[in-house]
Amino acid sequence: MIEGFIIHFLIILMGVIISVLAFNLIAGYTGQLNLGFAAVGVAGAYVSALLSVKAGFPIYLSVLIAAIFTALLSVLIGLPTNKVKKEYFHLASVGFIFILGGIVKNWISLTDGALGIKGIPRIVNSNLNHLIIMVFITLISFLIIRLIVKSHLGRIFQGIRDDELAVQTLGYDTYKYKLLAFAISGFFVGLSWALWAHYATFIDPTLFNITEILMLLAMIILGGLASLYGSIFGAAIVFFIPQALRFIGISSSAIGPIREMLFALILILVLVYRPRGLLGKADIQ
Amino acid sequence: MVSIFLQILINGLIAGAVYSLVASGFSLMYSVSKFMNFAHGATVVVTAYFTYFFSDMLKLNFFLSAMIGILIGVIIAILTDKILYRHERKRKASNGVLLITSLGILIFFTNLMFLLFGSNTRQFSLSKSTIIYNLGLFRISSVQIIMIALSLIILLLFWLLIKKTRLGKAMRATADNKDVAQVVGINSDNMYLYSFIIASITGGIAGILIAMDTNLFPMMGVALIISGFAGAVIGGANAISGAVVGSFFIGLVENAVNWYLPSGYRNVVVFSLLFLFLIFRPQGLLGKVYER
Repeated sequence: MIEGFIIHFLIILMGVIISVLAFNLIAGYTGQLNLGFAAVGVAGAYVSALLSVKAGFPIYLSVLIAAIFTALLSVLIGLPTNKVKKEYFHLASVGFIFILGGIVKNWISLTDGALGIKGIPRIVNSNLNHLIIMVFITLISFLIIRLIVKSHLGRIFQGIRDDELAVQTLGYDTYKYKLLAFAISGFFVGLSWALWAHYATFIDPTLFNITEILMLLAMIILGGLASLYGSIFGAAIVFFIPQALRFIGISSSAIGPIREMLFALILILVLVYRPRGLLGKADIQ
Repeated sequence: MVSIFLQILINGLIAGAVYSLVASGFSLMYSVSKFMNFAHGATVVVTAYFTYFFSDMLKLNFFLSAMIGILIGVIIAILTDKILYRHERKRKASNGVLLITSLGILIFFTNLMFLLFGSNTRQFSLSKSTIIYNLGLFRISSVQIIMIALSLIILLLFWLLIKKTRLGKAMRATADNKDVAQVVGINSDNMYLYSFIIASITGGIAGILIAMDTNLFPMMGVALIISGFAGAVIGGANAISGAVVGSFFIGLVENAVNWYLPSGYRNVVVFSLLFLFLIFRPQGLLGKVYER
């Protein structure tokens, strides 16, 4: 029984870690606070679910197409970044939660609207095997993102965060590099959510909400910006704290709001009292 | 056909009037303190719910309840500024840090209202006795007449405060250049605080008005600032006139969308418009061109 719980939590945690690493790449390393990031991932879950349920695509192919789709969607969100003030970009990126959620909820002929999509095929039937696959994919994702941030490309990303003008002076088209960072982070968050859809077997439009991005924010800010190990610690800590609520006898209807309040509190307290989190190397831009 | 257009126009103007209350406060806070304060939505929802608590649960006089509700909203705004934002500003934190903090405050209070009052929608008993006037070409309720009249009066007072008083001048000076304003003896920390207080009063009133017209639900603060902020940015957030024009524009668009498309598309259209504006006309309808 308890092993079942642990495997279940670890499967979700692996997916969350992929999302947080990718979020750190865009928000921590490149300095582009894309608040529509989680919603892009959920859109990926929808694409993969629809392709496999309605079009009969093989699971791995639909997951791959979903990740490419979210990479492009993420670039779309990044388009105004060179034209507008950061604050306006933040508002516009929050808007994508409502744009994507509204489309999915109301395009009933395609998505079944508020009912959600049921019967999404699983990758493997056994949870343990699914966990093994998730650990493997998480490890590969970690290595790829680590390779990127340690490379020349990663230094350009961090240069854009710290002093975009200086990077331009060196002859780099920073706008293109920013969009590339949007694409890479979008790919991984779509991958993470698509894999989740093929584990949960059910998704609905309530996943497009502010809580998802608030959770990711709490994780990268607690763990520390521009630190991949920090992201993993942050993800684990923030993920497990609300799980404890189940065991101290809080009524199930109160768990949701208390969980969100905990995320908000972690976020606020870290930002006010320990702005760089546990292992952070940069500040929020 | 004419009456449909007229009805959309009237409903749009009513919504726009209330959004302008949110947007003008937002625009004031944004131009003075230079960050997007999402916690404004927390003030809106807390004011509306506490007004409901005193007027409908404790059966106090409605106007007294509204005053207490607004006062609680203002106190929350003051506390968040004094305890959180001021702390962050002192170490020269970026606008992004303040924005995320404010997002945390918004989510915290939205869920607190959820815990205290439940997820069900609630309605002021006052608005159950609303009279609907049928004027032939369009219909308008007594609450809606109060909404539009009160909104316009408050907008006028707001405008007078910003343009004609010493406090307004000091806030505008801080908005233009806080360092120069400091030199002539204007304490920018105080100006931030005053802009938050004024915005919380107008935002709180907007929350009560919207709740009277429809109902109360925990996400109402989020919903109202979405329209208000989008209106402010589309209109041009560095000018309060822009925020007002943008809000009426959003109000009209939303009501037209509600008529011709399923209601869920409302936010899709609002934010797609906002996104297109940011790409093609980032300074907004009335705003000045942004210089780096």
